[in-house]
Formats: sequence, C-alpha cells, structure tokens
Amino acid sequence: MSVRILHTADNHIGITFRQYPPDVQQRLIDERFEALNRIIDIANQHQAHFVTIGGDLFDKVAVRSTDIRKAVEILARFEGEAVLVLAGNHDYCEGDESKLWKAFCQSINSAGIVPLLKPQTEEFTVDNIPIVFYACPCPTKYSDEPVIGWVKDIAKSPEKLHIGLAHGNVEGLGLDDNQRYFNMTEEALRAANVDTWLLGHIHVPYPEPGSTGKPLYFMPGIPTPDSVKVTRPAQAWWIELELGGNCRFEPVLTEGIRFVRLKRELQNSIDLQRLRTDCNNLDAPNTVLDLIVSGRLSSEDQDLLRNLLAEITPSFLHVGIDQEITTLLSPEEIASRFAAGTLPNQLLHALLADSSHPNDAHIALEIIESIKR
Amino acid sequence: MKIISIRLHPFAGSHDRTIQFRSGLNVIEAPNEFGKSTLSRALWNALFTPTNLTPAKMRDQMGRYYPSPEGDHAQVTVCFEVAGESWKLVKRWGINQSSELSSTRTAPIADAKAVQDKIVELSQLDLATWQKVLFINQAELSKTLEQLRDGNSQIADVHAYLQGAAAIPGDISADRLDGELAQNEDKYYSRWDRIQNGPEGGRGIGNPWKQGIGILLKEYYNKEKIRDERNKVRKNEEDLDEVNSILSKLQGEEKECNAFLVEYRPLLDGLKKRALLELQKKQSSDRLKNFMEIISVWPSIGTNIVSRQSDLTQIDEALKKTTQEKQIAQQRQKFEHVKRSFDDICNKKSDWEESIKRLNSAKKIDEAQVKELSALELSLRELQIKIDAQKLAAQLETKSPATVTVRRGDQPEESVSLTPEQAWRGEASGQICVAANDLTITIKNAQEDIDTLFETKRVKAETRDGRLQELGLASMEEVQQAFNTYQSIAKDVETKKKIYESALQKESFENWQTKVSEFEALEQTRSIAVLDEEITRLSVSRKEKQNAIEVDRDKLERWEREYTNVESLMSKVLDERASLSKSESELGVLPSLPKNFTSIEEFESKVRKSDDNLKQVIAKLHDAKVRKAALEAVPFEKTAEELSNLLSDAEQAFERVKQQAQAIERIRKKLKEIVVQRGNIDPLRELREAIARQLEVLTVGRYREVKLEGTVPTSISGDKELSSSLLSQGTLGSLALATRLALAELYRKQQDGFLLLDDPMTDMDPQRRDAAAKVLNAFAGSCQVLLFTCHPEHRQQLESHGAYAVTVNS
Repeated sequence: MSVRILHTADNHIGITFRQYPPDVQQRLIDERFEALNRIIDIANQHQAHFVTIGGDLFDKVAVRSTDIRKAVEILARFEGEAVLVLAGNHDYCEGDESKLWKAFCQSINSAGIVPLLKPQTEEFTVDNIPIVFYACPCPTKYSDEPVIGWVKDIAKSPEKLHIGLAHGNVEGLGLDDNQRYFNMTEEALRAANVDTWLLGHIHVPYPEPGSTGKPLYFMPGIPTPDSVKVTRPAQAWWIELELGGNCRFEPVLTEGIRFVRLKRELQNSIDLQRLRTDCNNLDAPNTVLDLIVSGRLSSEDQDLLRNLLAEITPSFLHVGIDQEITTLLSPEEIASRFAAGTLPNQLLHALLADSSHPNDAHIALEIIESIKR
Repeated sequence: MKIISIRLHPFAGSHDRTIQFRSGLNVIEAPNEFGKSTLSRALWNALFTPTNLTPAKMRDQMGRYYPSPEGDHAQVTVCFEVAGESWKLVKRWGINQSSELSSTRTAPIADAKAVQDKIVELSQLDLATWQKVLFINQAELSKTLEQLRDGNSQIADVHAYLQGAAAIPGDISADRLDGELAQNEDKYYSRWDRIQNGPEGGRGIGNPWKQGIGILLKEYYNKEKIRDERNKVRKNEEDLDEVNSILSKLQGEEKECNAFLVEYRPLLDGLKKRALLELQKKQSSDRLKNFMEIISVWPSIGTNIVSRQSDLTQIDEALKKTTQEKQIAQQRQKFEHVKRSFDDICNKKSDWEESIKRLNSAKKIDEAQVKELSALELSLRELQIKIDAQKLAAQLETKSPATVTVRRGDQPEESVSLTPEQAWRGEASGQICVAANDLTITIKNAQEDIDTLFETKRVKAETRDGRLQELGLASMEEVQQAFNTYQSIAKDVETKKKIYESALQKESFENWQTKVSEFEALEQTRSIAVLDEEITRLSVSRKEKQNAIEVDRDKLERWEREYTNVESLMSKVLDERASLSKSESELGVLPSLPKNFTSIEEFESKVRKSDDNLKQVIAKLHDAKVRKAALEAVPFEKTAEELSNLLSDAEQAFERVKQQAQAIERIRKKLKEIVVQRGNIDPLRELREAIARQLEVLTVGRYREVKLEGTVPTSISGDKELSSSLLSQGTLGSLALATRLALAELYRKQQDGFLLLDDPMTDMDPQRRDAAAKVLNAFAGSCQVLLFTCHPEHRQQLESHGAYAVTVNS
C-alpha cells in the first residue's frame, strides 16, 4: 500500500507577460491555467490521493480575484483526498490579513482544497496509512530565516508517514548568492526527520530521473515554462510513498508551450541551413522563439537570412529576434568595392588588420556605404 | 591587357558573332538596339563573372543572357594580349558551365576559380576600378551630364558623383568621411561625458537631459530607469516583508496579551482582597504570639530582676580584685625592665675590668724608648752602608801549603788554608787583615777613616743591644710589636669604660643595686593580657546584667501600663484568636495566586503591564496596517525578478552601444593616422592637371584650368572662370569626358589595359566632337579604347583622326 501524490509548484499564475504582443500575452496567461488543468487531469487519471503545490501557485500577492477564483475552480476538480496549497515566496502569506489568501479561502467551496498558510501539521489517513504533512509556508517574499526549523522538534511516530512541504532555495541546488530566498541546507532538511520533503522554488526538477529510493526531497520544476530560462521540459513529480519513506517516482510531462532560445553564430549559407533545420524541428505553433543571431554574412547570405526569418516567423507562437549580423568583409571584398589607393580601401584595410577590434572595419564600411548612398 | 577579339556563341541575341579589335581607338558603330550593350556586357562577364556561381546566382546574373526563348546557356570567347603574350578565354554559363584559359606559353586552366584568379592577375586592376573607371557605358556618362544639367538641386549629387570619380571606384574625401564619423560619434556621445564615463554634468535619471541625447546616454538612461524601477520594486517588496513581519509579530503579541488578560484580569479584585486579609491575618497572628510570650514571662520577671542584681554585685567584687592585681602586674612589668638593664650594666662592668687586667699584664714600652731605638737602628744601617761602599778584593797564593788568618772588615778572624795549587780569593769591606806567623798585613781603604767608622758602629751597636736587654726584647721588631700591643689594649680599656658608663645612664652602680632589690620584693601575678581579658569579660557581663535588669524593668512598666495585669492580657488573647479565625474563613473563598507568580503585587503589576502593552500593540498595529496599505497602493507592473531580467538586457544593450561608440572613436583615430601618413601632398593635383589637359583640348583651348573642391570640379577657367553649375550642356559633356579620361589615365597609369566608352560625344557640337576625336585618338595611343556609338558621323570623325572602325556582323 502506498500514498499517491502528484507534486507540483511554481505555477506563477498572474505573470503578465507584458513584453509580448496582446494575442501572445493572452495565450501565455491562459497557459498558466491550462497547465494547472493538465496537472489536475493527470492526478485524476492516475487516481492520486493528493496534489501538492509547493508554493508560488500565484506569481504575486496582488493577483486579480477572477484569476484566484479560476485557479480554485481548477483545483476543485481534483477527485482525490486533498489539494494541499502551500504559500510560497511569491504568493507569501503574511498572516490572517493576507488579501490573496483571504480571497483564495473565500473562493473555496470544496473541503478538498487545503491552504497551508502557517507552520502547521495536517493529518490524513488514506488506505489505512496515517500521513502527517508538515507545512512550512513563506511569510514574506524574501528572507534568510529558515522556515523548516520547527519540524525537527515535533515527535514523529514510526506508524505514520511524515512529509514536509516547503518553499525556498536548497543550498547547492539553486543560485541564491544573497540567500534571500529561504535558503535551506540538506543538513537541515535531514534533521527534520521526515520521510521526504516536497519543495518548490527552483524551476529545475530534482532529483535526477529515477524510479525508486528515498530521496531527501523533490523539487518539481515548473509545470509550464515562463521564460527562456527554463531549459528543461516542464514537469511534475508522480510519487508513490510507502510507510518508512520508500517510494517510486517518475516525472510527468506537463508543458503546453515552450520558450526556446536559439543562439547562433552565422558565417555562411550552411549555418543558415542549419538554423532553418533547427527551427523546423520545433513545435512552432506552441513555441515562443527567442532567436539571437550574430556573425558576418555576405550580402547574398544576408538576403537569405531575411527570407528565412520572414518565412518562419508567422508559424511560431512568437519570435523575438536579436540580430547582430555584419557584412562579411575580407581584403578581397574591400578590393572588389574600393579601388586600391582610395581612402576607404586604406582605412578598411587598416581597420581589418586590427584583430583586437574585428568589428571596427564593418562599422566603418556601414558608414562609408551610408555616405555613398 | 589588349582585347584582340570577342566571340559571342551564343550570348543574349547573338547566336554566334565574332568581333575583332586592334590597338588604339576601335569604333564600334551600330544603330541603337543593335547590341552594343550586349557586346559590352559580354566582354564584362567574360572577364569578371565566374562560371561557378550558385544556381540562384547563375539564374539571377546570367539567365538574362541565355538566348530566348529556350536557351539554357551563354558562352563567350575572348582573345587578348598581356605583355606580348596571347591568351584565349572561353566561358560558358548555364548548362555545362565551364571556364578555360589558355595561352601560347602556359598550360590551359580549366578550374573556374583558378581561371578567375588568373584573369584578375592579368587584368592588373581591381574589379572596382574596371567597373567604375574603365567600363563607362552611355547611361553612366549621360547620367553625369544629365545631373550636371539639372542644376543646383542635383549639384551635390553630381559633385558627389564626380567626387566619386576620384570616387567612382568608391573613394571619399577624408573631410567628408571624417565629417560623417564625427556626426556618428556625436550621435552616440551627445550629452555623454567620456572622461567621467557618465552623463554630461552628472545629470542622471533624477535630472535627465531632455534635448540632444545621444544613443549612449539614451541606453544609459534606459538601463538606469529600469535599475531604479527594480530597486524601487525590490525596496517596496522588502518594506512590505518588513511590515508583514512586524504585523505578524504584533498580532502574536496582541493575541498573547488578550489571552492573558481574559484569563487573569477577573482574578485581580479577589486577589487584592486576599492580599489585605492575609496582611490582617499575619498582624493578628503576630499579636497573639506576642501576648502569649508576655503571659509566659510576666509572673517571673520580678524574681529575675533581683537575681540579676545579686549577680551584678559579685561581678563588681571580682572586677575590683582583678584591677588591683593588674596594677601589681604592671609594676612587675616595669621591674623586668630595670632587671634587664642592671644585668647589662654588670656585664659591661665586668668587660671593662677584664680589659684593665690585660693592660696591667702587658709589657709597657713608652714612645721615647721606641724612638731612641729606631734612631740607633737607622744610624747603624747608615754606617754599614758606608763600610760596604769601601769594598776590597784580595788574592793569597803560596808555594807551599800554609795556613793564614784573615780578618775582613770588622768581622771576626777566619783561618784560611792555602795550597800551591789553589789561590784564595776574598772580598772585604773597609779593610782586610792577613796574618801568618808573625806577619800581619792590613790593607785599608784610603778614602775614609775606616777605623773610626768601625768604632762608631761598635759603640752604637752596644748602646742598642744594651737598651734591648733592658727591655728584655731581642730585636727592634719585637720592640715595635710590644709597643703596638700595649697601645691597643689601652685603647680597648678606654672604650669599655665608656660603654659601661653609658649603661649606667648617669646613675651610680649602687643606685641600680638598690632599685633591683626593691622590685625583687613585689608578689607574683597573672600576666597583664590575662588580666585585661578577665576585666573585659567581667565588664561585658556586668553591662549585660545591667541591661537585662533595665529591659525587664521597662517591660514590666510597659505591660502594667498597657495591660494592667496578666488577667487583663488573657482577655485580649481571646479577642485576637476570634479575629484570626474570621480572617481564615474569609480567605477560604477568595481566589488563589496563580502559579508562576510569587506575589499578588507581581501579579497585579503583570496585569497592568499587559493592559498597557495591549494598548501599545493596538496602536502599533494600526500604524503598520496604514504603512502596509500605503506600500500595497504603489502600482508596480512588474516584479523585481522580471525587472532584473530586463535590466540585464538593458545593460547588455548599453555595453553594445558603448562598444560601437568606441569603435567609431577608433575609426576616426585611424582615419587621422592615414591622412597624416598621406602627408601634405595634394593628392588631387594629378587629377586636376589631367582633367585640365583633356578639357583644354576638348574645348578647343577655351578652358585650360579646373578647380576642384575635394575631388569635385567646381569651376573651369580659360579667359574667364565659370562655376560648373553655370556650364552649357556641351561644356558639361566635355568636362564629364575630360574627367572620365583623366580618371582612366590615373587609374590605369602604366598598366596595360583598355577603356570602354559608350557614345561619349552625344551632346557635343561638331567642333568639340572633332576635338574629342583628337583627344580620344591621342588617349588610344597609350591605351586601347573600345568606343561604341550609334552615330555614323561620330565614327567618321573618329576615323578621320585615325580610329579603326570595327565591323560588326549581325
């Protein structure tokens, strides 16, 4: 007998995506809810006992009430024992007066949604397995104060399954130089003496994919990407826990759209062909593409690049282009454009010889060309 | 390079056409649309368009030359000479594209790239020079003239175009280029302080520049605004965190205070009453205890006073005796002192007397005796020295053994045995006397009266010895020692006497003896310390007894005054017991002090303090909520994390722009270096002179000078100076041709090459055409010229000056 949990975190409902055009922005906003829907669907499909959200269901404490209600409605579709929703650092709970969580609680009509807003234990029994959840929510957005310390002081019966829920950085896993984000050490997590921890915050999954064992903690990654910084596939953890902490676990893919950054140095038409192939391999309608191209191309190849970009852009959900392409300039090219002895010829050759500033000749060429135009 | 022939087979409309050329001026005359441009393009492509183009480029560049309607290729063969060597170039574009270059001296080249490289090498000039200077089609030439005719609105462009003549191959004047760079530099750096690496005048986003902002400053402001916004958002978020923490803490405190007060405040009245009753109970209990103690003592207190008075009398007696004993003890203490002094006096007296005895037994020698003996000794030593100074030496020899008597000085005689073998030698002081048998020989020093010396010495020695004998001493040393010993003892006697007299302390020895006798008569006592201790103990005991008597008397007086008698006091005891019982029963129904409190005062203080705390907490909560509301009311569209990402992008953009700006600075610097390297030589002098030379001939001597601004002919002059903007079409045409020829001359210089011109004399009157024909023929003397024209009269004029009319078969 085991307890079945679908663990997610960092849904960040309420991100505005203002940097995108309105239609793309709306699609991205909707995607946050769609991803949550998919998680609940998967949980129902696999008959999970619990869905656990390890913080940051919302992106900020000031979220529109319609978004809060919409999220609650989605969570209410869960057919298992309970959805445990922990306050993270983005959607922290400062106390009973928290507007976000007040609105959240007021929207709840189902007993199956359990907000975890203060350090507390929640006990359940499923399939005769008594379970104690130790909730360690964030009371602020930033803090270097540990929030899990109290768990170690609670006496724990071996007859029960003990699961910690917390949100924050784990030292060595995420990059939190200033230790502003509720930094936890593995030592502290271990000292809490629970069977495992279900965490959130780092948008990178942990542990590495496996199937069995007793991981100290699970970090679910992000259920759907929110920027190009997310390079791993979006996922949640499917976890089956037995008394004593042994568990079976596997990642469940949850993404609907992808943010992809292609950074390419282009030197010739072969590079352009490769870029085309890379773009063609993407699921364009569901991909926000951030294309960073740089390098030096001949005039003909620059035309090809323009054509390529014009061709692919409509097929993608969105394409952002950061282009630093300069005209390929060689001594031969200079000779073909400017007769020997001319000032441009002399200047460009002199600049081209300065290997520490390879772009100077290209910038000069553009200026010379602009004069000629 | 000289073109010998060209074959188009096929190329555009020509299925297979061959044209032969000669050195000098070749005039290709044909009507318009006959194919002059095709011939020109065929020659151009043959020389400069490779055959290994990509399919798309091939289609774009060469597709137009495939014979219509279904041609799939174009092919040109050009024969030419370079430095006396004949070359054949065959190029085919499209289907079966190929290149082949062969010569009479080298192996054929078939690789397209190798062929092209070789052509470039043979043509000696770069592509741009060929394109811009040596291949001048009618459109370009007429465009020049047309633009000149258009007047002022186009003049700049025309100038630029003419500038391009030195600039046709892409040249630009240093001033123009530097001006453009300066503009670009300004575009980037406007309002930017390069030394401070920040906005001019330190005007950051708090007080930004509004006008004339360069790209760099714009990017700087952009990133700083994002940073500022990010910092504000983060500060807001951190402030909010702080307020929330405060709120959370205050709410906890409020809850704690409320819980305490709800539980404990109701107990406060009952506990205060309990405090009062417990105080009363304690006082009553204390009084009862006091009464019981009085009752137990009152009956016996009179007897106690009497008994203590008797004890007091005994103590007084003992005290008196002990005091007397102490007086005797003090006298004895004084005696001990006198006895010790007297014993000391006796010892010192004995020492003195002992030293007198030693003096009396010592040999007494006075100082005069010592002086006399010392004088004798001294005198004897001086006599002896005198005698010793009169030294004599004697040698006695004998022929037969003999014995003689020898007396040396005043020494006793000595017997000397002489032998023949050994002489006797001796020394003596003053005289030596040798006696043998009856013979006595005396030898004396003649300088002194030795006999008197000997006598004086003898007399003084006898006197000294007599004195020593009288004293009983053997030598002068003994006399001196005995004298010293006596003097030392006499001094010791004197010293001891003084010590003894000092110990007597100016009293007589007998007085001391009397005092000692008196003190020895006093009786024995305990020590003064023991007696003092006894006296103290008795005094304390006396005081205690006396105090106890007074206390008892005071008590008795007070009790009688307050309670009259024991019976009356008993009645008060009963009243007090009743009161105590009542207090206990009232306390039974009052609340008890909660645990963790040691007193009702502490409890009350805590309740009061909690009340005050609660009021303060509520006030602080109100303040914090107001602050929180104010922080939440600030509208921020983005979170700190989103803004940090934007800031990172903006910082990168700023750095990129900065690098571009720095690049422009470097380019300007490099340009200046090149200009300096070029020196002060007027680079355009040659051009100016060449144009003037050609123009003079072309205008039949009317114009002989040209002024350039940069590389642009701005005016020409002969009898008078005319601005180029005021020239007639014909003169402009002449100026344009002169410029072209001058450029071709300059760029071609000593290189072997050819010039291609398309109808260069269209706008000229017959006289100037004639002049142009002369100029072109003259030019062709050093450089092959291929001239296309659709005007038969032009051909004729050119032929009349020596040009070769090329036959073009259709």
